[in-house]
Amino acid sequence: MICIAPLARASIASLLMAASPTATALCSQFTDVDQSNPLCPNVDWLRNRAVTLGCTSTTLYCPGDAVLRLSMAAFMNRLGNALTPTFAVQQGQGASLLLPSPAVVCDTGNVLATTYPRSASVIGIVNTLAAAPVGVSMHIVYSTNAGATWTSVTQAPTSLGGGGGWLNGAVQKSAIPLNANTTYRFAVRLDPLPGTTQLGTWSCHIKSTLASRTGSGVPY
Amino acid sequence: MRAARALRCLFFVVAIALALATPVEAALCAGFTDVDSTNPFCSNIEWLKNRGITIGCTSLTLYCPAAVVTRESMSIFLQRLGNAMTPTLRAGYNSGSSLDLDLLPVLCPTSLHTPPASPQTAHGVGYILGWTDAASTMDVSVTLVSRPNVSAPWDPASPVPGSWSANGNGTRKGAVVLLPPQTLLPGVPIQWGLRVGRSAGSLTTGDFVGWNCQLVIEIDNRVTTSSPFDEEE
Repeated sequence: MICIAPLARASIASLLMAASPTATALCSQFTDVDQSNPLCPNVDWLRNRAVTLGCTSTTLYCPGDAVLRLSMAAFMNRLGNALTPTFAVQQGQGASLLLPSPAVVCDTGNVLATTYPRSASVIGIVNTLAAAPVGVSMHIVYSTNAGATWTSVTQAPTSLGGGGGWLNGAVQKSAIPLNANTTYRFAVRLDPLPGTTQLGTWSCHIKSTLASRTGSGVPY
Repeated sequence: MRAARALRCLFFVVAIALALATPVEAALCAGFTDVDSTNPFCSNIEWLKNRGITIGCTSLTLYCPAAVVTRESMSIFLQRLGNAMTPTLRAGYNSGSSLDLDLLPVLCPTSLHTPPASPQTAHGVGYILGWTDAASTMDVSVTLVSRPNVSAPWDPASPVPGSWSANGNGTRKGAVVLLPPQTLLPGVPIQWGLRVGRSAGSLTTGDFVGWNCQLVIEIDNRVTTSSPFDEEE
């Protein structure tokens, strides 16, 4: 009796792959365009932005077909939507703000950058009534872990300081590169300068503008 | 009994004849007679027509949905799409000497913007710097305002005003205010400015002896609309 050990599923898959002719890599998972096509990056770009969903099925691009005016309407509408900026805004206020350590205010909440890369331009404003001299350094910060940690993107933080009245400061950062399929939050971080442990009456306002940028999208 | 049955039969025949004689008219898509509103691409065609990217093919009432896009047409479509997606800017810059804050002046007004038929969003930022002489100490408040035409009253457009305390020593101080995304109504003109005045509860009074301001508003395409062709159908 001859005993033959059963082949593992992975081994079978390897054998099958070795036995079959080399499969051409697909472009954007379209079976009629392969990755070596010089226009594949353009097809990827369109598919990541959902400008094309496929032609007669979601696995066919029909690269040799002429474009009908009906289809063109869909392509242009979807392209226009992908290029239209979106916004995340937030405002906040309070009677006092303790600053034993840096405080994050005006958190925009989650902003999902789906399937294609974007850039963000963010501006934040803080107003406070300082009965006694105070000093804070203002930063634009972002978080990709729901606010657990924050990263400053401000190269030149704004110093807000003085006493005996209302103070107003603004800080901004343009063209922050955002990765595709990543969730971001934006906020203003107030770092207390030596001698400052709290602010009195305060308010803040932030506006984040997200726009398409060139770069690698996902999943294609 | 037979007469009643004959009458019912006649009524039935007449009803069918009338139905055949007056076919139900499908609603037009974006005013085009060759695309009806049930076409799954109708909302896309409305999007294009609202932005002036298509104005029809052989006539203003035909879209020619099954016609192929020539490279010549494509160049027109892409140019119009590019124009629709290009932001428009409205800005105001000014400076001056004495300024009576009790008049609630609106500074740095932008020129009037008349939105096209397509939907748009405005957003922006403005600042005012002002300084007072030794006789004037007060709290100053700045609000970004807008109005639908040059003779209408100004309305607050920014929910968070900016404030600062002018302490009468001539130091230049000021405030920045934001315009959060503001939905513009198609075809309705709009203008923006910065309104400045003494804060409520400010105990002392006075005027600026010098000031300057700047306001920049960016106007972008917006995704949806209801005018003139409802893209959300």
